[in-house]
Amino acid sequence: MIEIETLQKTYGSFTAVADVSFTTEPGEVFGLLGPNGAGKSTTIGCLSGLLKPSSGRIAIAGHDIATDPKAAKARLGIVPQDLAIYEDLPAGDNLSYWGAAYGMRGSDLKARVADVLNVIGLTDRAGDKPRDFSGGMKRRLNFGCGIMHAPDVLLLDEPTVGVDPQSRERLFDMVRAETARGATVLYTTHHMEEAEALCDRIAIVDKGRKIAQGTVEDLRAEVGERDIITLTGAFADDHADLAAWEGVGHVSILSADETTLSLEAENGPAQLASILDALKRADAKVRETTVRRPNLESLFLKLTGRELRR
Amino acid sequence: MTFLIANIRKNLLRIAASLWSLTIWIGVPLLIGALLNGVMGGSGGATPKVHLLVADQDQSVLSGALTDMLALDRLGEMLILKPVSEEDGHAILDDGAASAMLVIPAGFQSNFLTSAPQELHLTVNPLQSILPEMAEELTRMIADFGGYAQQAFGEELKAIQAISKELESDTAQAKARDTAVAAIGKLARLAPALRNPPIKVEVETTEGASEATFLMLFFPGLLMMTVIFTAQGLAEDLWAEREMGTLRRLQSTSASAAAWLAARMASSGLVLVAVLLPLALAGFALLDLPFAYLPLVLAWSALAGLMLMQLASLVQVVAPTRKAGALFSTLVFFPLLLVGGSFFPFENMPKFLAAIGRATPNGMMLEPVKRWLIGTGHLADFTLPLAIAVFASLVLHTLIAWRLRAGFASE
Repeated sequence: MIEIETLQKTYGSFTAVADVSFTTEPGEVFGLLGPNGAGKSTTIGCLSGLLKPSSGRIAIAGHDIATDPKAAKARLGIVPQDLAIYEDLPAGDNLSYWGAAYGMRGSDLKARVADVLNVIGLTDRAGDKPRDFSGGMKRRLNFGCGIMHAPDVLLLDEPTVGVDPQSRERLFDMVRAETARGATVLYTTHHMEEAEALCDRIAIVDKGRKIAQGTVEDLRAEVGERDIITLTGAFADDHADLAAWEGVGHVSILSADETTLSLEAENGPAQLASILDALKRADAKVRETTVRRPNLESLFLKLTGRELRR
Repeated sequence: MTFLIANIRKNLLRIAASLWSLTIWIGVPLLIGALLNGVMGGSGGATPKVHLLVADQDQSVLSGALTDMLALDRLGEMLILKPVSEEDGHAILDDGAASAMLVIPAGFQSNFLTSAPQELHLTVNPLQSILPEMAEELTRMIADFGGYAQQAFGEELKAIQAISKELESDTAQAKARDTAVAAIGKLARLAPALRNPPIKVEVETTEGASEATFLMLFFPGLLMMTVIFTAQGLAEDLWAEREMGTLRRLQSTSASAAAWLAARMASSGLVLVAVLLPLALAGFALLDLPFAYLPLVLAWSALAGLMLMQLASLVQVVAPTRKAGALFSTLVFFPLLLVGGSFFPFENMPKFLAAIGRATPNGMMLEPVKRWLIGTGHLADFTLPLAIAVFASLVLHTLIAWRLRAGFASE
């Protein structure tokens, strides 16, 4: 459904997306996971035809976005990160307008507006203007506008920003309903929990590059069963010298700087006391300790040495 | 419902939802028109008068006759006279409650009879401009009249003055002097009649033309002012669309940008007609213009509006921010309003400024419709401006479409 081959987007000397490639299948949610500025929105921009790639190829349902943009866009629905609805136009008219933008008309359009209003739970507010809606309702309408023409490919760019947990769950249900009818959903987020809960496959991106890809299970396996221990405080270079740590085994350093020390350890909680003892002997000042079970966030930390949400 | 119709419907619904914008587009030109018409004396309004204070320090028969002369006939229509002491007069002027104060100094009559040099003092209100100038002109006229009277009757006045001195009693002297002065006074009262030219000139307009009152000259400019305000408002909506993210979303759909722009033109045309209609109806009724002209005037004004809307849209899409867009738009359109015949008819402007004004987009569109309404125009007068307007609209349309594609819509 989506084919991206060695996509590259540069702005002068700055590379926003570098050699990103992936394909998605019908009926799957493909997650693009990465911190802010990782290149997710730029990738979405290139996919939706808003940005012209510097190099590489993008095809939507077999149609090249560069050479056959009209056909590619006709099969594409987009739910942008920032709301893209008419605040001064009733919800039903918003849906009707965006449906017409994809060539729908007449009774088909009318019936589809009713369907989508039902899906997004705004049937009883069809005649009201979005400026009077809550944030969650606006997000749902924003989603509804993107699925009016029942697209083969749906791009969701950080759709849960500023959404309360209840609305987020509703949005997840709507995404699952889209995949159930055979659509491909490309879902960008910097929330590891969202990606784990919703996505069938995930590509992790950082600084414009894809650093990992696979199913959630594949990626978890990549982390192994080792816990991630993050220590914050005041550290010197020799504090990261594992040879000096007596009584501590099966630990490796992921990253170290003056304020943060990230470790990977087997059975982290059991080894924590020994690690703190070793650091105390070396005159390191530890103010805070976090031990995490293996997950996508720890995979990101393992791959980049940085927290996903920093 | 095609995308074109859906777009027109969407635009009209959104504009109808912002009643304040519509009210401002219609109301502001109406308000400005009413104010300017009132100030300029328009049609039916009260003519502004010179509020002239007269401090008569001479209290003589001649100074009284002078005051009487000011109250006569046509001068009286221009003046509101109020006798005051000089001190009170200054206080009234300080309050800004009068246009000017004329001081007739003590000895005025006796100096007049002996042809001695003398002065009339006129103190003007600095806060007013036109009315004090009128008072100044009146005073000069009085001085001129006095000069003519002295030149015509100087010898006689001197003789009477000499005879009066030879008379024995003071009463007889005073009587002789007063008789002379009364004669001059009568002459002064006759002055307006004497000024009537012996040849009567009858003023009429060319065949089929109506008299071009200020309101008549101003009315087409007022329509153009409405068009400019509306065009600016419609153009600003591009920023509203951009900030709502709808332009960006539109770029990612398969919808035709040409259809979107065409729908924008069509809905703007309808809005322009709707906004112009009440003002045009009021103007036609007030000026007693033939309603058969109304469709042409509306269509022409709407066409001008579309061209100006395109110009305003281009200004908006090249601006880096919404605030800058509003500023640039004001910088472009305020001078166009001022010199393009919307605030002041070309007929009331200096020639060079009127020539510039007639070359502006709004001035160019204003002229043929004004001549048509006055009755001196022909349909052929519309041809060149029509061709220029269509060509300019196409060029502007192309530039806007390019700028939308080049980043304004997707930034």
